[in-house]
Amino acid sequence: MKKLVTCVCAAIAVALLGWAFYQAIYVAPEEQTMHEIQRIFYYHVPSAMVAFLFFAISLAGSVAFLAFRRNRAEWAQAADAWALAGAEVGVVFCTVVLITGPIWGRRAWGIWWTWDARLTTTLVLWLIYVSYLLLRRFAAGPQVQTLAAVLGIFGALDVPIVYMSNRWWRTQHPAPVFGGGPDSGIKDPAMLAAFWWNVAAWLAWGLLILAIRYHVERQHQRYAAQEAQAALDDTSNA
Amino acid sequence: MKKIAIGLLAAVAVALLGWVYYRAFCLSPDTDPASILNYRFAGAAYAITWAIQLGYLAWLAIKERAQNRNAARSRAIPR
Repeated sequence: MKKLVTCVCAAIAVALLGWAFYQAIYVAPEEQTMHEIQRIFYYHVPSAMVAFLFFAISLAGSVAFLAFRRNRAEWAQAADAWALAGAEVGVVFCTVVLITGPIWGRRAWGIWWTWDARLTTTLVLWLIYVSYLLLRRFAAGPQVQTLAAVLGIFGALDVPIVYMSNRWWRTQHPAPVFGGGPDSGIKDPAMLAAFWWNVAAWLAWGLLILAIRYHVERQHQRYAAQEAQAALDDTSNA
Repeated sequence: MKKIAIGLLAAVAVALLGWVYYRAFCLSPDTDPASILNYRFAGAAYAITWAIQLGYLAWLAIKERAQNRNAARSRAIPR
């Protein structure tokens, strides 16, 4: 039953991605000033939105882990798995943002990279979560989960700074497309539809791989607990 | 079911590669150089996005498989 549900979800996500791809490339009209290169927008912005959502999930998981780690061990382990899954999938989407952005910038601005506030804070966010994943991967000992949870909470503090950076400071990066004043927003309905289809598609895909990552981590926790129990039994038998 | 999923993902990857190649190198001869570059850059951005996402999914599948194999092996060792 679980496998069937996963397959149905995967089929929905892939179908949505196919439809959103068609909308972005063949239905949405060409933008007047940037022409064809503007189509990167339909992958760049939804990826950033989904990355922010997953970092928020990581934050919630980290807070829940710290809250439950002393009295509800099973809940704490589940929260820790959500925190790790959110951070890892968030890093994947943030990587997409950091690669598609410079490709767009090279054609639109003539440069691959500039140290403006939006780009720099996004890079810092990515580095914080990569360091979170490195800590999870290479550190050992009983305090790793707690340290990672604290780092995860500090990392999430950068998300609102990234979001507000092109409102607070003058940046090379364009002004916000939504909520950036009376002139902001996408005026063409076909462009708007393509954009929201891509948001829905990448969200569905992201949630699917988040669920898979959570499942893999929970399995890892169960195997680790079984091995620890077996080692304990061996010691007491000896 | 797993084989169908792998086949589907491989088909998606091949179709995307074909699409990127077509978009980047099969343009009409009278297309101006700036437009050609725009098509190539946009195609590259889409291809890289898909490569990252499908690569991560493949890495997850490999990780789960290795994890299950290690668990089965450690269960098989008599204590």
